[in-house]
Amino acid sequence: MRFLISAGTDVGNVKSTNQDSVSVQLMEQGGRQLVFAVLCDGMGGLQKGELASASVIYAFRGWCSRRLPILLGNGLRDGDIRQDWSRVITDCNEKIKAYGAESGVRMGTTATVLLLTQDRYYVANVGDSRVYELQTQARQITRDQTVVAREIDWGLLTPEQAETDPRRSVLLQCIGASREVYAEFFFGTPLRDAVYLLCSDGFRHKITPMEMLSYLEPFRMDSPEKMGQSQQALIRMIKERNERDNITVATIRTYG
Amino acid sequence: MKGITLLWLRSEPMGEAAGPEGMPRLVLSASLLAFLLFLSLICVMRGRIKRRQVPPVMEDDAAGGSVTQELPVAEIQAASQRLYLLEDIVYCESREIIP
Repeated sequence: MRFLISAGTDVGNVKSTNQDSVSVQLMEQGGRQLVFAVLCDGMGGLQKGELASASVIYAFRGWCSRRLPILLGNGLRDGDIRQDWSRVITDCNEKIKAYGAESGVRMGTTATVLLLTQDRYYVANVGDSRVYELQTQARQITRDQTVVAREIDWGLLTPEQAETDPRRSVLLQCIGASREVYAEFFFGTPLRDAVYLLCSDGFRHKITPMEMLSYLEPFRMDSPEKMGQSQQALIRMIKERNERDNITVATIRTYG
Repeated sequence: MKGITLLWLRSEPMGEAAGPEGMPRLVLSASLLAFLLFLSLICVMRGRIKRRQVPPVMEDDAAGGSVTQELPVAEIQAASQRLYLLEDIVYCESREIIP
């Protein structure tokens, strides 16, 4: 199986800074490709969100260059990924909190991490950024760590009510602004001829998963350029629908 | 050597060698044979042990004692499983990060 990668971001209609950060790396080991992607949404209401999101991105890029080759050499195991990524997230939480305390600012970020290998995907999530699997249908892999998502689970809200609930962006935890952070992990088998999509909440508020699928339909995404054009078309549409937040998306097409 | 020993053993009829005069010679011959067999066995065993032994990686510490050096297994495995970066996309507005 091989991969095509693309990413796009936009400051949006209202904000003066883009507090989202994104990284996508396509790698090869012994003729087998793999992709490592991280997307972070710096907290809109907090100062220096872009510093928090960039710090988490580079912490994970460091893990990728230092630890991933060793783990691959030993054979990747779900438990190793869970342990390593939890440590990275805990370290980032402590460092961002300490930096904030020293400089007198509050900041935080979400984090969605995806490692896609030939036979397994590994996903970690803190906050409300998401990972979708688009093929014949759009499937949300992650679960939001928000107040409204919890109330949907408890049966207090319907998904439709949650769409317009004023608390829809209130997070249960985030990196840098929580006492302790517990990432949620998702593991599974990747599909061929699918698109794996990571996005910030600004990307998904104004469009439906079916719209994502119709613009990023896997069989039409035969080059990174085409995938990038589709991402930009979606971002334009989101801005036309008056999204106020930063908008960020990363996509990985599987084929072969 | 063995041939000579055997010739010496067989130089008299067995019946006579087993008699009172032949007895010391027979004992001496048997001892010599056993000793030679023991020597050759030791030579064979030493050869085998040497072949099996992996040369230890040693170095002297500050006090002059020898210390076994650990091989960096993880690093060697990582080098043999080298990961090549084919494409890299990164976007961060912040020019600094928290170290």
